[in-house]
Amino acid sequence: MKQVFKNLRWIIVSLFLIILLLISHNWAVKNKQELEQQHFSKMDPVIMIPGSNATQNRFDSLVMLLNKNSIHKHDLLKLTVQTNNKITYTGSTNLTGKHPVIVIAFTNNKDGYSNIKKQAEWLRVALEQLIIRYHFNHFDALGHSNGGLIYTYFLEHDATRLGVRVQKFMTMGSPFNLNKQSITDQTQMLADFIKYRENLPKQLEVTSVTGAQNYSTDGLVPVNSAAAEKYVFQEVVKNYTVVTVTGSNAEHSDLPQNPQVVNLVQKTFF
Amino acid sequence: MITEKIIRTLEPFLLKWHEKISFNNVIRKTAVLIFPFVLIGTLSQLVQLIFFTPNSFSILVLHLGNFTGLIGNTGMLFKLLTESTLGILGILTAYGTAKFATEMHHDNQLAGLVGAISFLILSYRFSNRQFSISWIGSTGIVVGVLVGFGVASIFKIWSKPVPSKPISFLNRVFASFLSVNLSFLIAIILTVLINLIIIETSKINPNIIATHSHIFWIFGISILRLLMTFLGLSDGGLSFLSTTSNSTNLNVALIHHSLWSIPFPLTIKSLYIAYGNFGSTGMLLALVILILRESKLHDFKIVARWSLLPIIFNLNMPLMIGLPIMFLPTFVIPYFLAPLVSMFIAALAITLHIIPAMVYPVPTGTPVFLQVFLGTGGNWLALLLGIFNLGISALIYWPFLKLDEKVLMDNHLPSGLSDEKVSRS
Repeated sequence: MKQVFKNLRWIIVSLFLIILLLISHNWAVKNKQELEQQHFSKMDPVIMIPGSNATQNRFDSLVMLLNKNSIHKHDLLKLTVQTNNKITYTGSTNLTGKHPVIVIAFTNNKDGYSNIKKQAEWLRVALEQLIIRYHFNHFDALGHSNGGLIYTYFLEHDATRLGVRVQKFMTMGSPFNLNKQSITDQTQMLADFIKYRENLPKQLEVTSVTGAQNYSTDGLVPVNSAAAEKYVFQEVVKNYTVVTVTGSNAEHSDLPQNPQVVNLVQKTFF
Repeated sequence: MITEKIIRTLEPFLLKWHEKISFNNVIRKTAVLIFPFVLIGTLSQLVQLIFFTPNSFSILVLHLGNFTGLIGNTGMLFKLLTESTLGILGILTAYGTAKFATEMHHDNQLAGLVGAISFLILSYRFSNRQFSISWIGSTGIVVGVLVGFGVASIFKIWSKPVPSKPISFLNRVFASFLSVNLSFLIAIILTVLINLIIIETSKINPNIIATHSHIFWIFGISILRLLMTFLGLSDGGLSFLSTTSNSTNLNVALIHHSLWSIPFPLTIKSLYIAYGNFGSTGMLLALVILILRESKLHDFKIVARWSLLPIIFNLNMPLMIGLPIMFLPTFVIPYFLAPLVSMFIAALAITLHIIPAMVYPVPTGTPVFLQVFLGTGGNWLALLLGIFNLGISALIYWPFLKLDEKVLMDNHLPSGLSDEKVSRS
């Protein structure tokens, strides 16, 4: 009888120990993940979207110029979202530093409001994956040309649901009224943007960079179409700053490489 | 084989030590005197650690406790109990040692009180005009013993024996009046000196130790740490070990999602806390398990049974006082050897990339044998190495336990806490 009790005691003790170990193991793994997440939430990536017909390599020269000027080299991760939501990653997949640069491009990079809506959805898919992968909870946004429109659509419809905070947003020559010269003649897209502008994050800091070759165009986008941006952001977001760049290299496609613009990007984001 | 060899070599030394019967007797009697308070204090400390410490192991991992409101405040009562028992252990030790070291025909009750008060005088800090909490508490045991013997020798020399039939009460008082004053005078002179030394040494930058990550430093500091705990100069707490290399390690590990590429794999944390302390200070858990399984001495078993749970949470006072280990030479060698061997094995394993280093922070009140498991993010191999080390430590303790038992039994010496003579039965 005594022997039975002794055996029973050992069984209970070892059962208790095994359960203790399993619980501890669970906690240790969870704790490690939480620590890593907390660590990475310090990361504040700058996520850039190129304009129509541009690929994921659109900002290579911008990042090169940025890195040339700074001591800390920014990691560059490039994503292309295919039409079936599949995403390819190129560049440095192991992001370090406080402000890595992530470029999100789309296989379908065509112009037009319907495409912009699709691209905004692909942007959401890509951001979702990025957040799961890199555990950041805030980022800064930069959109060149149509990229700015895609971001605006995303900010008005999907940003809050995703649980990330966009702090700073810069557009470069984004045609908010597409290719319309007149401001009174609103496109459906601009009308929608204005309609849903109350959904924009109140703490957003917006900078609008417009190029100008003459008084009416930057070579592609009408100055008035870019200026229509103010009807979307002004008085809704925390602040809205307009910068007009003229002189050499102020043509629409040159904007991301323009020295003044690079300087401005550096000061705004890094 | 080896056991017998060790016993044969060391037995004469130990016997010689036991012949200094007065010192041994005083230490053992004092241990008996303070043991109940140690036990009560430690157990209430344990309750506090398990149920009432915010962000402790049991709350974070096991979801036990975390009482708030009225029940949460009862934690304070356990703290009170701990501080009024363990918290004044130094004073109790001074009292006991002075009392038992003074012979009967002197006023040993008075000697005890004088010892306690002299100890208080020595604990006074001029810098903040308060008694030093750590000196009065368990870290003051070694000072308490020294003060006790000092006061006792003053009483032996300067007091007249207490008259067996005192004519008046004052007779009794003035028989020891000179020694009381002399004790206080010496205590005051010493406390001035001690305060001067403390003020001077506090100017030295303590960061010298913290910034080094060299293997000899790690072992050196660990030895120093063990020595201090053995002499009762520290309670075995592990907070001293946070160094800059640990935070660097943590950052790198978090960035790379891996423990293998950290810059300082060998640190005090990854060796001493993880493996040298796997079974509490001096790997005493190994000794407790050994006693519970193998010892023939009833007293040892009782003490081991009471010590098991506290030892798992690195509260070693009941075993140090109860067996006793502190101040007595029996277990000195394994007490130092077991952790150092464990650390050495761990250092080899880490260098050979068999196990990762312990990097992640661990909640307070984590059982000692789980620290490395949690600190490596749940690495089973690390846990197994710790258990292996515990086994090695038990093997190291084994001959010395046999030796102690043999010496006690052969010579019919009082064992541990009881004054009964041990006999071969």
